[in-house]
Amino acid sequence: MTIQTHLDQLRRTTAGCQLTAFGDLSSKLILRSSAAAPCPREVLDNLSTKAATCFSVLDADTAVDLAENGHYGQSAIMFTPSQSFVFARPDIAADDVTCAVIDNAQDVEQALHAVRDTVRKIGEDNR
Amino acid sequence: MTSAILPSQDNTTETVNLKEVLHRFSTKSEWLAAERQTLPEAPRAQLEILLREISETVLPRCIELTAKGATLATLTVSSRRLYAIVGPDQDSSFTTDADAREFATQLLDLSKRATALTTRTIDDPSQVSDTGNSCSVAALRSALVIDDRPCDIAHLADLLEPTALAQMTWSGDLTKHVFSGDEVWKHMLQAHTESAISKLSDPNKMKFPTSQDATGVAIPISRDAVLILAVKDTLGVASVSPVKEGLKAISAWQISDT
Repeated sequence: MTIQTHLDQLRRTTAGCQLTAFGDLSSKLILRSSAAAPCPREVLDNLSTKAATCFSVLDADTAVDLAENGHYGQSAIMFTPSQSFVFARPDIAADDVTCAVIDNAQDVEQALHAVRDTVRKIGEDNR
Repeated sequence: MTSAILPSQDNTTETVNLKEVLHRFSTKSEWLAAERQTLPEAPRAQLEILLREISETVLPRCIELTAKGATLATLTVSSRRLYAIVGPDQDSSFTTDADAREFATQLLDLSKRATALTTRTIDDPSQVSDTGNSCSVAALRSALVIDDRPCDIAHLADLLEPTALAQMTWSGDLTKHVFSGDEVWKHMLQAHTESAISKLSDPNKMKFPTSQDATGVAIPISRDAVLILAVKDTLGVASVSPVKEGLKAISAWQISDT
């Protein structure tokens, strides 16, 4: 499956999901996206900035302490009263990031699992 | 001549509240002591009771907090200010000369453990003035991030608190935060919070999307735990919570805003 197909599937199967995207953290660029309606470039640029901001909060000392558990630094969620932005990547050093924008009051944990699952599938397809 | 009709329902509420306050001010403390109160179970609700008790105490009194019949601590209160918190048997682990943040931290801890309170008169008022610094209810509320205005950060803190493994709140100065929970998480909470705040305040770095709304970040730190951090204006909360409960709190907080 292509990355685009994975993004489409993630958006359709995740409750309250309006937009999914795949991007590069180092360049802060969204490379692929899936949305029900045409999505302005500014929205995608803003999404990549949010992803970079989220992961920039990570602490180097904590990363060392928790390195063996394989969870720290792989995913992050930014939330406001109106939306949640779920981000996940294959590992703490990876620049590839998968994003999902979720309506407020939806199940954030379910969305997090879905985005992580998509990251895993994209990784397997690109081996 | 003009006249205005005040809303009857609000008027009634104000009258009842005023009556309660007047009753408390005019009642001898021995009688109040006889009216032993059972505290509600929710820690924040208990805190509200304690803060109200301090706010309504003018003459010097002691407020004794108990759990299962045992005394946890005695608060020295006068002129609507908290002067001291003393543990059982004058335990030195409690403080008699502290700032609002230290008092707030101890009150938060006590509110989680106490199940009842009683009040009694202090016969010798000089005992109060000899105990050192005092702290107003407003300063305690500020340190605990309890604001009289509708405030979504305080609400998120309320939602996270019952299940949080550790939590810190601050108002204004981050270094004067109130911490509760397992000390193991303290350094990590502080490090992440400082990192996030620096990105918020430095215009050359990346900013959170808006300063109008409360904005937060949730970072899973293990299979079971998530670090949650949220800020709005000068108020903030950071917690380490179980993943399921922490993320549910975020959804519940968003529901409350809709």
